[in-house]
Amino acid sequence: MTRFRSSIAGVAPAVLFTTVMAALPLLLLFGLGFLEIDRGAFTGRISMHGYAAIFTDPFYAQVFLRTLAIAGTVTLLCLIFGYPIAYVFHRSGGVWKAAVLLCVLAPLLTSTLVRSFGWMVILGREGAINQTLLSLGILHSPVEFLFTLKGVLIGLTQVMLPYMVIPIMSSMETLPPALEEAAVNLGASRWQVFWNVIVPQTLPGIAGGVSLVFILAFSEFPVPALLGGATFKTLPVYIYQTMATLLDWSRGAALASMLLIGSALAVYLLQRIFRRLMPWAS
Amino acid sequence: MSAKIVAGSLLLATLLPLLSCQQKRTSEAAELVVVSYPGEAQTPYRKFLSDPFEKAHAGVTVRLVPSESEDVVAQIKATRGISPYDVVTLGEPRQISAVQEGWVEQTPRADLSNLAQVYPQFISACKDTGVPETYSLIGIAYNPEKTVAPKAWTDLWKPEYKGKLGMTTPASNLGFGVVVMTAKLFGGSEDNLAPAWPKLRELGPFVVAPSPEALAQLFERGEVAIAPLWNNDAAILALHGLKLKFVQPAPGAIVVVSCMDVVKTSGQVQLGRQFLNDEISAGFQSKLAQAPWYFGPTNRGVAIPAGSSEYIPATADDLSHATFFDWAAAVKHRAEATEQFDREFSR
Repeated sequence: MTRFRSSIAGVAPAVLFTTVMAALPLLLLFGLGFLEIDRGAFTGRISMHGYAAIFTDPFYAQVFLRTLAIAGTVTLLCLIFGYPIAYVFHRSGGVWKAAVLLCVLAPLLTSTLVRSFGWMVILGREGAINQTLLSLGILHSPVEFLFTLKGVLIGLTQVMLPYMVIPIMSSMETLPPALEEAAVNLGASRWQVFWNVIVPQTLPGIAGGVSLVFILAFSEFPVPALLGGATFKTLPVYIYQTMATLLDWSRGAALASMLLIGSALAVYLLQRIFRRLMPWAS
Repeated sequence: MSAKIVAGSLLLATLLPLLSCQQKRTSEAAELVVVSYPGEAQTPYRKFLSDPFEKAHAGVTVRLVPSESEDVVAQIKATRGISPYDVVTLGEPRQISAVQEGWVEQTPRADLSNLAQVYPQFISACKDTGVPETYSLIGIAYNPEKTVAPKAWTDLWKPEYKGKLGMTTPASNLGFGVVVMTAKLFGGSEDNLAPAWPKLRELGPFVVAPSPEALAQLFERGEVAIAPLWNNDAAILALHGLKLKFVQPAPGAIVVVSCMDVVKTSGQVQLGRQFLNDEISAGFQSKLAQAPWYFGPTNRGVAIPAGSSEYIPATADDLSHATFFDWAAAVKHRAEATEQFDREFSR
């Protein structure tokens, strides 16, 4: 009993910290959606207008679905580009392995904001991509990347790529070499080894990467705000505007709850899908 | 026992930074936090106002914080009584809201010896609370290497500007001014912005920048060739070598008075009032009116520098040709206009 009490006392600070710093703000946020707030001042009345607005106005559903679609596309693009990078890392040795690792980790050394500004310079009408394609004669007029969906997807994919690659890399590194050797000895082709041995064994890494990238892309603010422009509305961008510009805190809180619930549901669904794909893991 | 000590220490470590945050604003008794303009426009405030103010008041530090009006209002609202700023600069539309909401101080006129030198119409623009620190103009900036000069606001609807135009949202005073001007040009008024929406749709496609600063940067990157812009931003871009011209289009560039106020919850009210008085002095305002800033002076004793007529009205007669809005009427529709703009042009 004494041991149990000391264990409780031991975890109490962590529980308290998590409650104060994470759960309480979330609860407050959820509750704020039920208060009537006029330009940042609480009127003293309870109101459902924040939640009612987001459930009755199709504009919010449109913004929510757009955000969902962008997060899904970015996750897919990160998987398509990230898996080969992790595979090259797995297959490399010595200095090459270190070089791949450095390339994957290097973008994390700068903030998302700085990288987004970098992309603004690269993707502009007079940016590096357009200038190169124009000078090579591939294009006759500049392509609009900036302030379009294309620009947002390019920026988000680059920003999110390490979060996909790292879990897959670590998953591949735990693969016993004997497995691949056994498959080859039993007559499997390279493709069969990759598809039937490596991919299923790295599903836990893929599951981790997919969940991480999806949640981060779904709630990302700076990249859509900077590369999409003021009229490119994703849920986090619209929450910021509702809170900071319109000062409609109750509606902003309702939208933030929508974002939170959307993320939680997405994680739940992804977990269920991957559990089905990995029956051995459950 | 040891577990209790560990738990207690951790709790204290968690709460101490929170407690110290509460203490910070009062313990730093000699610091005046002033909201100022971002970028190059802050330079005259630092060189000719805050630095001399620090010298004149031993032990006082002035911290200039670059920020947009809308961010300032949001932060003050969010801090609920513990404002991070002592003195704020707000464009006329924001100032009206601030006075209505009651979070700026009514500065006693007796504490403002320089106020006698200020044009009366500018004093009333700031609702007799703070001081009219400057005025700026919303006109049209264009790149002469990429497009031709517009003469009137209605020229923006000409086909030669299609696809070259930049805008900003009504969340900024610049964007809001353009919406009000559009409404007035096409049969509406400050109180009736409805006619603006179909006409703004006709202007598309255009790039919408999140803020006036971001819009100015779009000229630098060649994303836009023409856009409604602040005179000060256009002047600074031109100084940096960008091929940019500023036009005060017919029927007149839009005048927006910037008001400087002391925040009610400031712990430095008296210092703030002295800062306001220095701000409207002829000496400081004459610096502000010079190249490359071209802030319109509100002090009658300031002579407009020669060669600045592209950016600011040179005489009182020139100023009378500019457009003055009834911001009090327009500001009632601001939140609605911001939201409608988002919905109309959301992609």
